[in-house]
Amino acid sequence: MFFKNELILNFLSNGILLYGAILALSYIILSVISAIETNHYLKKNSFVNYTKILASPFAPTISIIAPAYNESLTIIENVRSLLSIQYVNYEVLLINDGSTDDSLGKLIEAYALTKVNYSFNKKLPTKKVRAVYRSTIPAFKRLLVIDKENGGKADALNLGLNISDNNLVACIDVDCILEPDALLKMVKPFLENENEEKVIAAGGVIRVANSCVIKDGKLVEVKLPKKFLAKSQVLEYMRSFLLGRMAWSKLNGLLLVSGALGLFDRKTMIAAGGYNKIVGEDLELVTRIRKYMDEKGEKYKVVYIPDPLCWTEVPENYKILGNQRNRWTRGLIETLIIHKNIFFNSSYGILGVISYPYWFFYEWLAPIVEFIAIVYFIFLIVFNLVNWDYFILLTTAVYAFAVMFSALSILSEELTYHQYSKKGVLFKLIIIVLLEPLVFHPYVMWSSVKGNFNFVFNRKKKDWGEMTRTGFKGEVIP
Amino acid sequence: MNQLILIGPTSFLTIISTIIIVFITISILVFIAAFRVRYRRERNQLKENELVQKFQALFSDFLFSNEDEELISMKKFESFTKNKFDKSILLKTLFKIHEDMTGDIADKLKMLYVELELVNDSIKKMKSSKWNVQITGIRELSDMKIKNVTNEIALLTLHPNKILRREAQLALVKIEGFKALNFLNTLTYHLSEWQQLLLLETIQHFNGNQMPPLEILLRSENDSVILFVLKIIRVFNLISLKDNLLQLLNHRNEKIKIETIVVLGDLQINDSLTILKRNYFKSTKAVKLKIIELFGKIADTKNSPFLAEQLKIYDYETNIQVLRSIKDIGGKQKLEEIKPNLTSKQQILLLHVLEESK
Repeated sequence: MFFKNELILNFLSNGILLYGAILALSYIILSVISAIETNHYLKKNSFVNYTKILASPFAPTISIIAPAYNESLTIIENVRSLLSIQYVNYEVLLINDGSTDDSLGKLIEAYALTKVNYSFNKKLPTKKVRAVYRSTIPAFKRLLVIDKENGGKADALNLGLNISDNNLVACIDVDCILEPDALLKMVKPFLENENEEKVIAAGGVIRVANSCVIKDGKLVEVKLPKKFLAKSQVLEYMRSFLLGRMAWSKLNGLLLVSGALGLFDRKTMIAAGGYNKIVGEDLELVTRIRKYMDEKGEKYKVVYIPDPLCWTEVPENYKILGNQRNRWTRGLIETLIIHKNIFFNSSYGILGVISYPYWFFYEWLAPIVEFIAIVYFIFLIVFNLVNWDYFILLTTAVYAFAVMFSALSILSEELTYHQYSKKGVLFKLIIIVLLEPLVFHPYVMWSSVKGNFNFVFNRKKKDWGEMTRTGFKGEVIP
Repeated sequence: MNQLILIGPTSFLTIISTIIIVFITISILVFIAAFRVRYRRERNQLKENELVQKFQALFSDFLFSNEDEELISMKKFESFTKNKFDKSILLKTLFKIHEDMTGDIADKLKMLYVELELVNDSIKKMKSSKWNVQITGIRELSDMKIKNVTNEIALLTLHPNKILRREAQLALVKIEGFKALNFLNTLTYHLSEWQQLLLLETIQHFNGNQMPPLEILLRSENDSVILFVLKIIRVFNLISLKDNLLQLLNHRNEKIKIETIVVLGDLQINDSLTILKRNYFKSTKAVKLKIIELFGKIADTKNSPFLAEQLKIYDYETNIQVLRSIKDIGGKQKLEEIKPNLTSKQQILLLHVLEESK
């Protein structure tokens, strides 16, 4: 019995240690690839004059699909922001997803909207359209407002896909603040492709807008958030976007284009079935369109642009943050289950052999392994089995790695986009680097574990289905 | 079974301790580097701002000076060409001012660029082993329209590095105008849409009368070259290429067929109608839609029965395009005329088309 117990405990100890070591190694490899790729991107794009495309009548037309639900407070400004984007050929499809507030009334009044006869090809099933509005003012001719029955964000986006006539669609969160040149930068990979690979999606960097100065729907001054939670998320987003995504883009293994902003090939999206009405519709969509292309045997690319393109507000209190991470976890599990046949399936190439397994082992499993390690540690304390020297050293090593990794993301930010230019910001960020692994990370880990629990035991929990906003504007997966 | 967690030799403790020290050391070094990067950036920014102000004043003196004063101004500039940083800001300011200038002032700036031997620096950059430095050099030389380097730039238009290749193509066109489009004759690489837009943006400012013959390019083996030439034809309304365009209607590449139909419609080439009507039924849906659109653009009433025929079968995309074309040919009145013959679904499409014309 004793022998058996010892074997189990040894297996647990060494297993957790090995898992952690591989995870750390994967982070290092990804960040090295990211650094090289970002450097190449910056060199390459330092010569680009985007304004030339801005003036070209040959620039492809883009439909911006912006679903909105009960955004009455900010909807007028949000639409104004979308109408002032720097791009020559685009239209804004604002989908009012059955808002129960006065969003529609405000839009009708502010933009002099009037009902129009409108027909579209219903390629994807969606809830019923109540009415379509267009402005009587020529300056707002790009805007089309579609009022529909509530069906959730995915349903609203699918309706936008049905309505659009253009090959390229930008799916965005209406309350995100887009950089004026966001579309110019995102459309470039679709146009500059010189080989057989078709670009099916492009995603950009999402930044934290809390405490930033926003005027008339435009970001006028970047500031570091005041609250600890938001500051921690600044760091989290930096790590994710600067040290992770670029590497996945280079490997052509990018699985997530954030729901806050993504540019897609519409025909591919429709052929693959559009958005799935689940919690993590953005992750699921990219997985599905990739899978679709692999099954068709067509070469393709999902591209990531490291420039800051979109700013969003992040949760500033623990409850909302917890709910958000809980939802993300459930969305991730759903996607992994829906596409389980990809797992280590070499016929899906990078997607099957690297991307999916990575999301399975490290995005989904990491919080669970971490939780098991904590439970295991408590068990060892109870039975007085802890070798404290080892414990202190290993915990310090994990903490030191977390600090080092965050430090690298700050250096990467300083070397590339240096958005936070105010004096004293670096000191503040260093304090967050030191505190975040002790306070923010455990809470996020716990929320993910709860998400797993909810997924298994409370599957009816559907807090995203009605697109309920919970007090902060916008949320995105970093 | 006492103290089971992570049983191992003492060396394991040493390894972990070493790893911790490495991580902490790296963290400290990285933090220092971040501060250093920020400090240097801020310092350089300050220095740059000061220099830019100084240079702007000097340029103002130089541009509005007489011949004697010009020499004095040049001497002043010369003193800034010794230091690498100062020289880079001088170049930056010079190009920024040059960008917005034309005529005599632009010529004077070019003269300064040559006299200060900054042109030699640009040539050196063009010959660098680093592609990004090469691009900087090429861009400087082409912005200043330095003609004696075109042979070297021409060689780079076929370079395997696509970023360098694109820059060389653009530079050549900037310096030599339409003549530089010769590189398309030998281009085996795909000319990306992005590059096509950049090239078009550059050439559309040129005088269309100096356009070289494009017939050969329309027979290119490189489909992207044909697509680019079709755009040129559209921009410059090159109706003289009508026969070559009609030949392209039988091209194997569907994208070329579609673009050709668009150009034929824009140029209002009536001769295309008979051919397209003949080709219609054997065409793909995407091509059919463009053919229907062209019938609307050319707006010959003789084609209305043909279009009406296409309404016999319900297909959203085809029907809506047919209705648009019928409206383009006969106006709203024609749509009202055919309304009773339409199904209820098609009548909804008709309302949509009527709405578009409001």
